[in-house]
Amino acid sequence: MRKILTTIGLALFGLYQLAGFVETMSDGNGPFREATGNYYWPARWKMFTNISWSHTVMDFEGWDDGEWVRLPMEEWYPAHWESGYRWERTPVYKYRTLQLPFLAAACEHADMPRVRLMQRSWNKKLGQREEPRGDVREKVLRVRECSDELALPAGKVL
Amino acid sequence: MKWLEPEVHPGWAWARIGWAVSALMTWIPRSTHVAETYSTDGILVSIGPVRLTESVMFSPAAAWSLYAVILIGVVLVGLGRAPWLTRLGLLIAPPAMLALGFHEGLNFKAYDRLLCWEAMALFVAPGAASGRHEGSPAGRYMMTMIFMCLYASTGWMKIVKEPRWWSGVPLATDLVHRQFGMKPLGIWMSEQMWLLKPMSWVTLIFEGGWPLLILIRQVRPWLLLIGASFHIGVLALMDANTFTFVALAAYPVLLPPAQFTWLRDRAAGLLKRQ
Repeated sequence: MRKILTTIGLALFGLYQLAGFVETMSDGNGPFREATGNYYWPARWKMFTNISWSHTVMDFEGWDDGEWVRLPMEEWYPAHWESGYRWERTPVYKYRTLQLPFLAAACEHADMPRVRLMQRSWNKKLGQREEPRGDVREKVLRVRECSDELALPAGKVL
Repeated sequence: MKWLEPEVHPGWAWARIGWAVSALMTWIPRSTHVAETYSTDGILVSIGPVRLTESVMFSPAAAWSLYAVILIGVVLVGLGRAPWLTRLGLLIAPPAMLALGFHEGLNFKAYDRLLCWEAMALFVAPGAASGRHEGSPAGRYMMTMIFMCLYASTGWMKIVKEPRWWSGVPLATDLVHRQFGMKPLGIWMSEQMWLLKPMSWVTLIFEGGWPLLILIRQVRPWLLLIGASFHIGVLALMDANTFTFVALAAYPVLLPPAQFTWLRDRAAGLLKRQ
């Protein structure tokens, strides 16, 4: 009986892992998710898949005396990982709703009328540590008026 | 059901200690920013598949308490004094890791998830992965399935979604990635296409082929030796934090007991001769 239960348990575990593989290959929109929901992300693994020819940095800037000046977000929010600071994660580039909380946090520290989030990228050069930031491509991702309030998760307001 | 016959696998003790060491290596450096990243002090966004912060946000004291639970749990697992104590550690540490991880949704890393998966396999291992007790090999099968999914996913994603991986170019650009790359050896290697191309081929064949190759008894030890070299290579060339250590912790139990002891004794013999 115990062996039968173990076999059933292992089969279910294997099926879940298989679902994770299928969902990875379907970019998270595969048949398992469609049938049951987004429950397979713990078994989805995607590492270093895409080619990336450019470096990207995210800069926060505040409007001060008629010009944009760089804000030291890394001093205000020093936690970072091997993937960089929190605002350097890909979802922040992609989703405007994720940019707002970081801009609101910048407002809280900066004491300036408005702040903006800049995306700057430049081409990688193989074999080089220090990349000269030549031909930097700039993009204003979002500007925020600091007079606006923003409710954060669990009701915190900035 | 011969494949479910009880076994004694000394590799579980190695895997348990490896897991505890890699978990400590992962979590101890995070002590510098517990309040900022896991509590009301610094949480800014609610993102990810489990948006815990939408219903509860830990105070700094709560975040620190959970952090302490992780360390206590991991130490209990590492010490392995008694199966019930090890299982207690495996019961308390991963949920606390997940709770803090869900609070920092932007940074729920692959090695954090892998630690939790491995903890499940350790939990069901004979004698809570003592390496001395006899019991069901179910934990070993679980560990194998976890790595089948992991390697197959990451390998086939490269093969299907980015066929240029066969040329070595994506690996070159990864080695000079601002965050994950930029190690001295990796920077030098990023221009050595004569090296990068075969390395990329080995990566694709190793990762993509792993789920099938691990089933072939004669290939298994060599496959894991290539895997160990692969992970050590990642450690030397890139910054993937503790992923190498978390992955290698499981390797001893990816072999059946007889093959593990054969390989261990052979390695010990080679070391003695030197």
